[in-house]
Amino acid sequence: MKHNSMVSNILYFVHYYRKEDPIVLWFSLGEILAGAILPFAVIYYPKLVLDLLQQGAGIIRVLTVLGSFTLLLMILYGVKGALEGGKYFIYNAQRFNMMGKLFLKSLRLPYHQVESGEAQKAYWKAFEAIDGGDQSASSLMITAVISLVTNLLCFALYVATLGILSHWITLLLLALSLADYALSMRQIRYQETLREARATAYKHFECVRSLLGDETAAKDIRMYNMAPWLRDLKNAAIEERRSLSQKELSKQSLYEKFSLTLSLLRDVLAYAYLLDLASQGQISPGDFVLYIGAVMGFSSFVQRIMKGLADIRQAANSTEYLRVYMEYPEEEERKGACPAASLSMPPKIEFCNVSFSYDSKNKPVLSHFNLTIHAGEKLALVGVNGAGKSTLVKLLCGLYDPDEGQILINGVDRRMFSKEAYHALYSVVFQETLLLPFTVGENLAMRPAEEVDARRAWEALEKAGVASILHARGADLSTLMLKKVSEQGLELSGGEAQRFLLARALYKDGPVLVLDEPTAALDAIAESQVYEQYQRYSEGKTAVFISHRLASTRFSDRIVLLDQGRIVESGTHEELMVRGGAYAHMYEVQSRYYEEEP
Amino acid sequence: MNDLLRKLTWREQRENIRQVWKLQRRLDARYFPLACLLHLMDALLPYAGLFLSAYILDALVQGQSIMPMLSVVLPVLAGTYGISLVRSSLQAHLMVRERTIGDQYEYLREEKMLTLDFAQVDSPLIRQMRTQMAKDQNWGMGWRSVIWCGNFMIRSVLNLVSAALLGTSALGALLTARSIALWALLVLIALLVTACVCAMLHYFTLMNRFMYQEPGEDEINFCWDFAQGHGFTYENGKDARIYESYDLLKKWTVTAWHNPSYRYRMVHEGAAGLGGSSLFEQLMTGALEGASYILIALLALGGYLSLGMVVSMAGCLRNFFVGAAQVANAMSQLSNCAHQQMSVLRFLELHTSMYQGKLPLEKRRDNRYQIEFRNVSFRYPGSEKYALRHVSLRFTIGEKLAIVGQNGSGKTTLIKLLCRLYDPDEGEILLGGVDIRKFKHEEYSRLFAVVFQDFSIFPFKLGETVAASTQYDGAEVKRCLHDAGLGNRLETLGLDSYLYTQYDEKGIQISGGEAQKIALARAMYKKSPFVLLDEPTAALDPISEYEVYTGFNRIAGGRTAIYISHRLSSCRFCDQIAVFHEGSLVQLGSHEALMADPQGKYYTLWNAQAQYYQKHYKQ
Repeated sequence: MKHNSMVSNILYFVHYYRKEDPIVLWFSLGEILAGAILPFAVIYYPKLVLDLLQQGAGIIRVLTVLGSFTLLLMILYGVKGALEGGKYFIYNAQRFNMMGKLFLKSLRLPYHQVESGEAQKAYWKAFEAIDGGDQSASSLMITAVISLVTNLLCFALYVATLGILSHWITLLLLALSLADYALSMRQIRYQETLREARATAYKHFECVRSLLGDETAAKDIRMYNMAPWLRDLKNAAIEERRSLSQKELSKQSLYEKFSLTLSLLRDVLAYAYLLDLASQGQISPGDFVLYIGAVMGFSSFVQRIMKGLADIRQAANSTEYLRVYMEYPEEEERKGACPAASLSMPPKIEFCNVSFSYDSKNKPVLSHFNLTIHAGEKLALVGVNGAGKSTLVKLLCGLYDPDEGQILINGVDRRMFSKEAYHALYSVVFQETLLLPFTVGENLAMRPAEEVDARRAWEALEKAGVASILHARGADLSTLMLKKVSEQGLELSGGEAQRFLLARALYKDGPVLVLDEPTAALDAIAESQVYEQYQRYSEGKTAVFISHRLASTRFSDRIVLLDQGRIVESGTHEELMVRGGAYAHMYEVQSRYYEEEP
Repeated sequence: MNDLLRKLTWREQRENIRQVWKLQRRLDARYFPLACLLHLMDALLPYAGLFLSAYILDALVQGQSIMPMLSVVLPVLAGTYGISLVRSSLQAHLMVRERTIGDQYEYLREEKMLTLDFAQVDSPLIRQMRTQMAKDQNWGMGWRSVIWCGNFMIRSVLNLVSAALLGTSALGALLTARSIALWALLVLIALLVTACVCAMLHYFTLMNRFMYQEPGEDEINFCWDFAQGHGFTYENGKDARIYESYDLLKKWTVTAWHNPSYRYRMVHEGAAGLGGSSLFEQLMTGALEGASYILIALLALGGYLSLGMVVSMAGCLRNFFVGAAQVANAMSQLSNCAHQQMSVLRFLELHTSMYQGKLPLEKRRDNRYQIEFRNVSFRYPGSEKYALRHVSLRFTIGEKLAIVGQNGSGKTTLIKLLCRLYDPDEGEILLGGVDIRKFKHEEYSRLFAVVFQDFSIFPFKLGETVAASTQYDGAEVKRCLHDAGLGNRLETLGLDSYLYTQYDEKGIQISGGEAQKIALARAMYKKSPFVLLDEPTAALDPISEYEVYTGFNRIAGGRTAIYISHRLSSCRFCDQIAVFHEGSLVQLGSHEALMADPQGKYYTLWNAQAQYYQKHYKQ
């Protein structure tokens, strides 16, 4: 992890707000100025009153002087309050903007990276940095910097005031403040040692909490009477956090007591010194009140400065996580030398000597893998769970890049195409169902509504058998899907959703069609319909069909059986059956129960 | 839900506050009594300095020497120090309690879910309530704000009272002064009253505007949802890339966020509202602070107060005024806070809606429990269509029953009714001739071991997960895992290894197929007289599927078993097959009997799938 300095992390947010909403910065500046003068004005006021009274000023003079000072106080208080409250919503709202940016960033990373454990962790750390309300990096950075600068200014102002009186007392106070500073630093460091443990405790807490209320798990929780078990876990999670807090806060209180002792020392010395001066008449009673006020104010400023520093450190740490993710290298823009349009369609795809592993520690999923999918060929990819089918599909679609070897499209290395041109070749139905709370048209085209071609959209919906479902529910392309945004949102059952995804693939009409388990959630009749229509869908396309339902192989020109990343068998259904190898065994196992004479 | 948006009467607000107080006592009854002690110290400590200054000023005017003054000053400083030490410990202790209260509060709502009926958990009403509760916690309005408000209230009252008590001498002086002072006092009182009223009104309008926006209006933006993985997980990134949907996702997130009307409401009204109210509050603080000095100065000019008393009395008066404004402010904030808790309080009040029988379940060693559906009809709440219609079905003890039918034919609903996750709308389900509603719900649930289609495997220890409990029989868990087909994997991981990484970072990743096997093991470990399996092989490859089929006898082990699958091959090893179509039971019988009817639904379903596996199949 690259380490940016604290200052660099502060500047990161200064730049951010300057770009997104500069008013935050102006408000902060105003708040700092008003906040720095205000405490001084507050302790100056009694001196003013006492001096006026001692001078025997008349009522008019008392009223004008005190009246104008009151006005000044009101202005200072007012400005501070208005700016402090006024920017709260503004910088908090920016967190949503940042979350959106973070999310979009995750879409710009190479997919294999998004999937990796390391990037996942980095993502969640970045997310937490902006999800913590007032404790999030973006909010804390602002409040902490304002507090730090304001209190530093106050501190300087008080030092200057006391400096007029005596250098010695000022030096003494500075020395005591330094001791206070050292104490606070130790405390901050102690707190930072607890950070890991606190993060873990929070993870446990959140994990158990989210499961208790999980609607899907509710059935299992009831049928397996898990409530006592979950309550045990809950109590453990709360206790874990409580004991950590106990540890942290008793230590904090201990430091505070040291600090209070320092304050006692300071107060005794200050009173003795100032009383000495005042009793000898070297300072007026008004001055005495002012100076005592200034001395008493000292420790609170030092404490707030330290709190500000600690908060900035915390914010800088979180900022670091945010920046690390936001600065992850994005998918390279390949300036495609070869326009995809010039290819003859459907394309021929070749895997030449391709090796791929998820990370260097594990053994490769594919090693020196070779496969040619001919133009317009319909390939069935079969194999047990974990044989490498999904990896192969991701390599094929360009979601992964091979570690070694080449993937050729009509004999041209795929790196010669731009990313967009390459992705444009594929219509894929993945196993996970992705329906978004947007309009039907947008879900179909996966492009903003204004880019949706209504005629083609209905054609695709018709072809996949979704149009009639939509008509029956009175939905059209502009109907919102899911119940998230509107109560009338269109919800689809598992089987309907799977058909919708087919329609999405058909709308895109890429020359290569890839279907990954498209019938897992379908009943026998719907499954059979998909098989029958598959031929229509894949007409004039190169197609790859992955399924555990070996019936699907009947519609393929060739079957490839994968096992541990290697092709163990390849051929037509009949050829492989005659051969009597692994495929024949698998098929035999699955068809056993369907045969007329069991 | 809309009644959360309307304005409240005073009586309702008082009732809300009372309920919040009750909940607080349930969470931690000793927190606020202890907090009072802390606030008392906080209220009194500042006066030590104030009265010390007053004493010194008067002593200085009288020309006293330093030693007698120090003999007063030092004990006061020492006393203050002593109290501060106690205060520090107390504050730390309270902070621990406060955090724990917050944690417990966070769990209240989730724990409540455990006590509700499944039908409630699954209902739109509960989902709506949960959304509202989550929304009501926005902007830091959770229980922490209740605690903050309570503390603010106590502090304000104590400030007010201590200022009034300590400032009585100033009050006495005011009463003897009839001319200017009285006039000034009237002005101040008027100021104070205005301040209080305005502060309250302002907070009300502001908070109401923000906290209770019309639902839906603020949900056109998915920044938070998607970033958090709600409705879009990293795996969906595959579709996003292949279908080039970056622009679409950008449109509904960052671009929508920049949408002026949305942002205008969110940001500018919020800024103006909170900034305005904060401006007002602070202006008042400044005015009151200045005014107290003016008043005291005028009294001193009239010769009613000594120089020392000017300092202490001005301090008292200032604290009195600020205290009064704070009390008013705290009251309005407290009622806002309490209002914000309404959704949670309503939720916690919910009762189970199902009839709760009292009958104990007869214990049978032979597991011969006879269950029968008699003319059962059922509609999901809020749905027009019957999910099940006039279903009569008897489960033969010790037999294996397959349930087949198209998507949406009512198969899973039947299971849910059988487990009493829902109660039928019409007809009855009988156990040994007695309506199942009459039995204790918990005991009835023990009859069933279910693997639902959307089963959940929790990210905790493997052994605990299979046993669904902290205490378990390790050897038995191992046996079940072995029988479920996880024997090989079991060699590399112990029962104490965590599954997935949500709870423990070093947890092991398991595939969908393995999760399904763990769910099967869990069902076996339960040893219930009924085993219900809903699509247990959907994620499995042909070989694993076959293992489950052949192992089904072992899983069922002579118990009554119900098997739902789109894979009709599963019907071959079941004794009976129930065919459902559009909510009705249309056929019942053995495979051979049902195949004998070419007009029947079963024949169609079977052939739709079997044709591809038969030798004479031609493309």
